[in-house]
Amino acid sequence: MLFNSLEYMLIFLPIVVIVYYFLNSLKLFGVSQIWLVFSSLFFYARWNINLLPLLLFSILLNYGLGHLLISERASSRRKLILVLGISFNIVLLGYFKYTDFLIDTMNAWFGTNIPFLHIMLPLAISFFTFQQIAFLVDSYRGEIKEVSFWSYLLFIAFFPQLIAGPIVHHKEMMPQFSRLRNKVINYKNISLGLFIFSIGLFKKVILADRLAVWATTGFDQLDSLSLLEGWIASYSYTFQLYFDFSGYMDMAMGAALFFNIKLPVNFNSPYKATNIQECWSRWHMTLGNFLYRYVYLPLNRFLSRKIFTPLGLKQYVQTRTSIALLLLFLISGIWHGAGWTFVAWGVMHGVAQVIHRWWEKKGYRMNKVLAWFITFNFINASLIFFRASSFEDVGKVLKGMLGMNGIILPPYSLPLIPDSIRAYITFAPLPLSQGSKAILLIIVSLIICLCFKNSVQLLEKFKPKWYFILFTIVLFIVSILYIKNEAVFLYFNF
Amino acid sequence: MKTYKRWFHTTIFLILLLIAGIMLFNYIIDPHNIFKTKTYSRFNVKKIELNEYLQQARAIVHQKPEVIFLGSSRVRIGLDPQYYELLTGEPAYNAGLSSSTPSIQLNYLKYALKNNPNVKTVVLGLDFAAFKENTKRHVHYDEERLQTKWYTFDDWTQQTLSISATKASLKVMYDNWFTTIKYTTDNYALDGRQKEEALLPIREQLLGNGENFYYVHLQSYIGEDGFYRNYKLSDEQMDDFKKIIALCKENEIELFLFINPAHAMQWEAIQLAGIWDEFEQWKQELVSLAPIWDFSGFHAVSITPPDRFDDYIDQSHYRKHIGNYIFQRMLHKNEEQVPLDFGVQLSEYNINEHLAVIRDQKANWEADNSDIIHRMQEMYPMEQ
Repeated sequence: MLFNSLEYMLIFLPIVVIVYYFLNSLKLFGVSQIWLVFSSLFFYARWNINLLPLLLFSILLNYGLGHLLISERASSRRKLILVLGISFNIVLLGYFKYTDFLIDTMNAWFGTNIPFLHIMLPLAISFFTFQQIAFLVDSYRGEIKEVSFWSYLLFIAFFPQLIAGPIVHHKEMMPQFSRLRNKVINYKNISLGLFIFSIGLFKKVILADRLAVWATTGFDQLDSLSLLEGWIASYSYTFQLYFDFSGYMDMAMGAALFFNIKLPVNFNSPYKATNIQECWSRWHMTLGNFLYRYVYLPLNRFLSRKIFTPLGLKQYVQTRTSIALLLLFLISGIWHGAGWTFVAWGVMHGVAQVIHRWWEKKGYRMNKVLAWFITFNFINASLIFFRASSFEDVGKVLKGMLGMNGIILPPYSLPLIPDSIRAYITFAPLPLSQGSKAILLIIVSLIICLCFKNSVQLLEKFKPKWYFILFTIVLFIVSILYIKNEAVFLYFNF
Repeated sequence: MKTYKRWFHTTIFLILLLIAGIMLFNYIIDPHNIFKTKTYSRFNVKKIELNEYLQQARAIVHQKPEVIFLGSSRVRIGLDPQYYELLTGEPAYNAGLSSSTPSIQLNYLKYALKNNPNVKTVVLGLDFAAFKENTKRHVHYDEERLQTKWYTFDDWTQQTLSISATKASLKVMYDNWFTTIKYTTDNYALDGRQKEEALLPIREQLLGNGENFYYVHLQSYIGEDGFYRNYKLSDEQMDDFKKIIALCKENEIELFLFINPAHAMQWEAIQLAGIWDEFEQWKQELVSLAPIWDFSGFHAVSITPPDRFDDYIDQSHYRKHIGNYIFQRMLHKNEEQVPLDFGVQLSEYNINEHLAVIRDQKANWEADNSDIIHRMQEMYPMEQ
């Protein structure tokens, strides 16, 4: 079921909320928790019921291993259990996500002819794998004292965050599920929930889904792009991705608030960033935290202990951090998708981080506007790799943006162009249709991203006033009227 | 907390009120003629009919026809239920659907049976193009819709709670109030037939502007990605066609099967696409399953000049009076009015002879009409 489907908004969510509080009002807290679990499993199974056993299997096994880690005292066996647990999760993710990619790479490098397995990527696997690895590691570290089966099930399967995050940490979720105060209907929370849900829905339906049209045409359908089309296609995707994913997060946060559950903030106006590090501290923040805690820090420690110290390079901290950063972003790239374009995207960001750190260290300064401009356009350029399905498509879009396929402008722009350069321009309707609408929407998107408060900041400003009623109703009603074919969220692919 | 409670209740109440209001508004206006709500002059009589796959499903539920015509747009435009009733005394419904294939027709037939187990007669017009392998289904076709006698959730919400429905309602109100036809159309009769009267003026106007639809419409057959390009007979469609025959037998339904007539150019396109053998094979396979009336070929009705719309509105869609001939021939009523060489009932005994006759007629037509063929080849070149 999709967050932006009428089935979800008008039927599923109201029923789940009403029954939940009804059960709570009868003091059947255990039953209400089970109700939430089954609702979440139904929500997941509505996509494809065949995937449900996989999700349950993964949850049960991880719960069992976590339980063993918590109760087991002998440290040698605990390490084995942890290694087994992490390996299981990675193998499962690897099998479903990377098998065909590996086959493709083998075939290309070694000239083999292994047929593809065409394995379908089970929805949410990238997200629940990470959450469960974190759970195992923390159980191993002794940070978790005890965990009940139903809360664990709910921690992984809770429908607002199951499919595409935020990647939640058991420490911030489990206590919320068991807190008695959260079992009582809280009008402030559900008001905030409705408010932010409407914002998210609007971002998805009105902004992201419209921008998607130009991104799809530019990246997937046209064979070549002229200058303007290249820029329209790439900017459309850059904004589409943001509105799509952050809209999803707003809806997730809103739905969770209906149950008095506060999900962690995942976006904080990333396109306002004036350097790449800042951008990553504002974009998909829960993934960043996970990778920092469970990949970067262990990796850095490993490099220090096993490589740099034995080689007598202990003082080369900068080099070690740079290597760890590069590896971190490489992993992030591969996590996002099984393909070399994702690897390239990860490497680009890794290198940019290294350069940024070096720049900071040297104490260089840059004009803020220029810094924003460079950062934003770097993100835009890197997202071409992220979006394109092959390097040929990357080349196609980049070629367009560099004007290598010439410049086409719509005939009505003729009077605006100085005589001296008219000769270099073809005046004709753009193959990318409704280009001027696209430009307008890109400008609007830019203004929204730069000049307005983001949804989390708006949430803080929220007051139970009439103008917030108006705002919420307009966003909600306009959005539901424009819902068409229930466009899937981009991050479901990752 | 109290103010939050009030805020939430007010907001939810207003949202629900607005949703209900919009749904009711679109339901009453019924801009796409789905719900068949009451119509009032200068309000919602004229409609904007867009989704025929939904409309036909609803009409089947509504009308519970005992005699039903199935097939593509050729059937929908060419076969007149009223004329059928005149000949037989039985009221009929035309459930033709553009670009429908036997698979789709089978499911609509099942749907008709589900809503009225007393279906007595089925008339099914066949198209060679509909038996092509891997043909994409029409975007409006929805299998889920045919599982319920009521509306699917998606249909219901798309028709009442969407911007397209709301805009259409406003347009319908505008046209009805100002007695204009800026947005509304009058394409379909109550008996399901698509009105040729609505199409003819457009075709004539286009011809005046140099766009001859006998040639233009061939695009979907021998243009890029046309039906006749890379044609392969589909086993799946043939199987579903068999199922239609079996289903009718099982339910003791009289089944009339015929190959739709078309202008000679339509058959020549098959020759140009290099799939004449497949065309003949298709007929052979059909005949091996059941007796079939064949109205295709180069007979008196198909070789009229392709710049007049007396018998056709383009190379593939025949007009109503040609459809009347089909009934006259198949039902053996007033047969003397039908041109002699129009319609042959095929069986395994006469098929080879019949195919040979058509080949001869084709050779004759080609010899006399090299200009037409030349123009077709020029417009839609086939790589060798």
